[in-house]
Amino acid sequence: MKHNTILRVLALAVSILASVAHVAAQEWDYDSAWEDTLQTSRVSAVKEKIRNTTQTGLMRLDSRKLNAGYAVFGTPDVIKTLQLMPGVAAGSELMSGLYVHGGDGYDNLFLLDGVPLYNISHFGGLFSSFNTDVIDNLDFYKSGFPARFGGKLSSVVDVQTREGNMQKWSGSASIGLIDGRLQVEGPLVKGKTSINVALRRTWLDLITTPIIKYANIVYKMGDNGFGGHSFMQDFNAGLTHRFSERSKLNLRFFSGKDDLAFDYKDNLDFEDDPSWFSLDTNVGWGSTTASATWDYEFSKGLTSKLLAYWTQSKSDIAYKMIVDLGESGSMDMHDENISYVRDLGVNYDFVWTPQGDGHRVRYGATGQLHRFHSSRGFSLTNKFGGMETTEGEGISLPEKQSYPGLEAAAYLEDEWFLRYNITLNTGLRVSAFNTDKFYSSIEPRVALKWLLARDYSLKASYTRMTQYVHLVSAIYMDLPSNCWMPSTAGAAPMYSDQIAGGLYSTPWKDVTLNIEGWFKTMDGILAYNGSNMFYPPLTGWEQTFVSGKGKSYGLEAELSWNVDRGSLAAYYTLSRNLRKFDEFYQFWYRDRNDNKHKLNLVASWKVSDKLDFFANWNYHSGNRVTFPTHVTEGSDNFLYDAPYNTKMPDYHRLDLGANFNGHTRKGRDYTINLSVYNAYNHANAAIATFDTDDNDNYSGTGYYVGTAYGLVPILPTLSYTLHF
Amino acid sequence: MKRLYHILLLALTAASCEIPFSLEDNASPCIYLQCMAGVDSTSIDIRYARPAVGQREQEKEATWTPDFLEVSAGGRPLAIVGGKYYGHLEEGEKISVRAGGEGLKDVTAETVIVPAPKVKGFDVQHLPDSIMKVKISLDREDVPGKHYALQIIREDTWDSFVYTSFLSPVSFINLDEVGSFLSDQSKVQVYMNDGLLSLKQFREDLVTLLEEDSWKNGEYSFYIPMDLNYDQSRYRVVLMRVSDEFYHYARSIYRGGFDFLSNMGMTPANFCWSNVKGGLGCVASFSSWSSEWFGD
Repeated sequence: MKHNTILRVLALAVSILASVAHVAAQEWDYDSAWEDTLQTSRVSAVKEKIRNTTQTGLMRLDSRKLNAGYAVFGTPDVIKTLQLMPGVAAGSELMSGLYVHGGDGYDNLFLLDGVPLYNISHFGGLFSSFNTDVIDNLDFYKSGFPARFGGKLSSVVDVQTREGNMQKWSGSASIGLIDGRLQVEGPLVKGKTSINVALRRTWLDLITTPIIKYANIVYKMGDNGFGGHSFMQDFNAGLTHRFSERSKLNLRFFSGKDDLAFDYKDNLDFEDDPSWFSLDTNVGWGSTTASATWDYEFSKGLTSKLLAYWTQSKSDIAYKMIVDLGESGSMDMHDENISYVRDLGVNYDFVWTPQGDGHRVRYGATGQLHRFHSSRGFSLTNKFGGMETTEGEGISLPEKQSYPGLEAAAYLEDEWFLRYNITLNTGLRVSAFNTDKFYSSIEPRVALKWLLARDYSLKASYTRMTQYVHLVSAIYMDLPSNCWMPSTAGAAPMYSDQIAGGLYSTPWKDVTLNIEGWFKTMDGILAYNGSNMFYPPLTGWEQTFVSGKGKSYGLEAELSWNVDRGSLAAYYTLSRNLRKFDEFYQFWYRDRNDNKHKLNLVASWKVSDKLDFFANWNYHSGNRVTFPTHVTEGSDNFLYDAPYNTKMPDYHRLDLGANFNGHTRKGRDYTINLSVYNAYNHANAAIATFDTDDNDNYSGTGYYVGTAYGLVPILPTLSYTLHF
Repeated sequence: MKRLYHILLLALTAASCEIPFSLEDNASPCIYLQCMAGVDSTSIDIRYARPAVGQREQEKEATWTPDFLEVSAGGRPLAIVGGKYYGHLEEGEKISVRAGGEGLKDVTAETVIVPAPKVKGFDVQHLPDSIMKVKISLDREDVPGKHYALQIIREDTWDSFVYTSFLSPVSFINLDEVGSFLSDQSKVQVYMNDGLLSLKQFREDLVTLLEEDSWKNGEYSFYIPMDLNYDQSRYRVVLMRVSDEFYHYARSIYRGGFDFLSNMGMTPANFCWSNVKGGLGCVASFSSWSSEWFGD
């Protein structure tokens, strides 16, 4: 502890001294600083240096950054890239958890071209829904949220897809260890209309399905045997049409789908009756969005964006089990769960830059018509000994929760260039939500940037966020059994307040040093308080959840060196993440993702045009689990001194990758990507159990041990991408 | 390339998935305090709680007694004898408990004696198949934010012998064992409703903790299947108003008994509740209402 404190103080002192030294040594270049700031709306956002934005907690990634790195299973992934960022906890290994500044994972606003996505994961979290082939850039906000964003507590992941090339046709085809990708873009009318289409699909089922069929034949299963498949796919399509230099229309469509099916049928040896057993399981889930965006420039200082969209996230789980014992009897069990959330929404945003008075004003309004729906049915029929009994409600999905919801918000945001070196971004968002109860919220947003010198800025921000939707989930996994529900009379909205501030600098050429701190509180966050492992009850779902508070604070630092041929970066986070649910525990306690230390070292180097390498080392303090801590004399009952009282072993992992670039005989570019996840094969704890020690039979030294289980070994993957 | 392939295969094979880790420092000994304070009877239990992992000091654990145990009601000290106080306590009185022992941190906890349930109506209806439907009515405003627990006492007579199920031999006046059920998770059940009856899985539990939504317009109905194997059986129902502390603690124990996913960090850790500062356990209060004997 003492050691950490000293290190922290040293780091802060060094950065402050460096700042002061540079400020003193530099000549002020007021004009360029002023221009640099004003230009932010016009230059490519990707190239903009973070120190020049007013927002704190903002990270910007372009498609090049997203695609250059290791790729688990040969596919670059947005969420896995964001998990490396400071201030973000990843949760379970390989999953798409994104716990930002102490958030709960369901409180991130994912926007795909401005359209909210409720479900962003495939295969329970192994992949995210964002296909990097079509991504142009991504803004990731952890604090200092501008007033134009709202509806979630902890972060904004604003993904913009690329408009199709207006001049020539091009594309790429890629095949990886378990999936393939195809992307094509080009002009329909040169300089006027273009399209950009991308498809991604896992292909393992195309191989496993015939293999399973063949195995059933080999083992002479007849009508019996195994069957099943599993795949995920994404489809992105965008059409851009330029009416004029001032007017542009974008039509976009996205569909992401997962499908998992398993069936089994076999004869049973039960007395002399012909008898059989069958199991049929089907799980499907995914998201679909469709949107139209019209960008229009009224005048040089006034632009607008009108967005109309439809978005849906849906899951369907069904299984059927039949045991037929001939004349002895039979058992027939059905279960089906369907849930979806559908939004029809409109956003109208304006950017007004009055000439000469140092303001840039954004204002706009949003409206969303939600439909939250969940239904469930279960039926069990037993026929034995001439008696027939039925349990459950039947499979006509009688248990149902369906809510319409109306959400609306209006915002005003002013980026005010107070002085040549001071920018103030003030904003106000007013939001309202109505289901069976009306809620409203006023959300002030303030961000201040003080450019100490050309390469140094100090920033501070305060934001309040409101979230009117809740993830009804009994388990910390991204399962299709989870469903979204709105704030109702029984479940109030959630709120967060966050202050953040720090120093953002380029102390030496090509070197970036950013140090940022944050303090965040969350109110009204929900936690499941029931006992069912997978399906929380639908009727009266609010009563199985309890409301509590969260608190998170920390310090994150980024030190990076970027040159044309490569980069070196270190991201460090020191944080604390606490919860207080009166129903669980009377005091504040550490949350499961309370990773005190997190360090990521990232390196990339372009050896030649034909070869580039990258490496990435991750370390964080272990996740936390709840283990018994005490027993009393004369009792077999375990006692727990606090939730999440035990830290699992620390996590560390090295990922390596290399791109081999070349040309085909026909002159097309290709890239072979070799990635190695967990290169030194370290078993990182994923789950943990508390059990008796087989080697210690009541020796009096205590016979319980904690055992963690690592699930992910070294994963080498290969992918081939052809550019055309 | 072949060599690389072999190296990767070896690395995969050698992957160790089981990682034992030390739990030695996740706890130190502390005081376990359990107190159930009622208007007419208060029971208190204090014990040495040893870490579940680590070196045991069996002799110390077995012989440990608190150096001091102070219980006061509204500021006046109560004389605890053999873990019990039989004097009268007033509804709304604040009960404070403080205890300490050698080598352990002092513990403190508080509760307030809850008022007794104001039962407005009690009705027993005989249904076919030897089932009784029992209905208890409260004022509607006595439900929100308040917690109740239910107990059924059955007294059976067979060949002139009298057998009484559950805790109390004759009545509910002696509350000695009420406190002890706090540590017995198997006897605390949350649900006992029409659904269970329809499945013919009625459970005769010591105490049923009633959820707020169990009450419909201030009424709670439940069913008792009569046992016809005895010459005579009779029943009585005890409705307890329990304090928030008891509610949280009982639910916590109930959930901790079987929710193994929570132990692994996969679901919320909702089984750790305690209101004893410096130690573990629960200091709670209750007040009860009892019906007359019925069903004979």
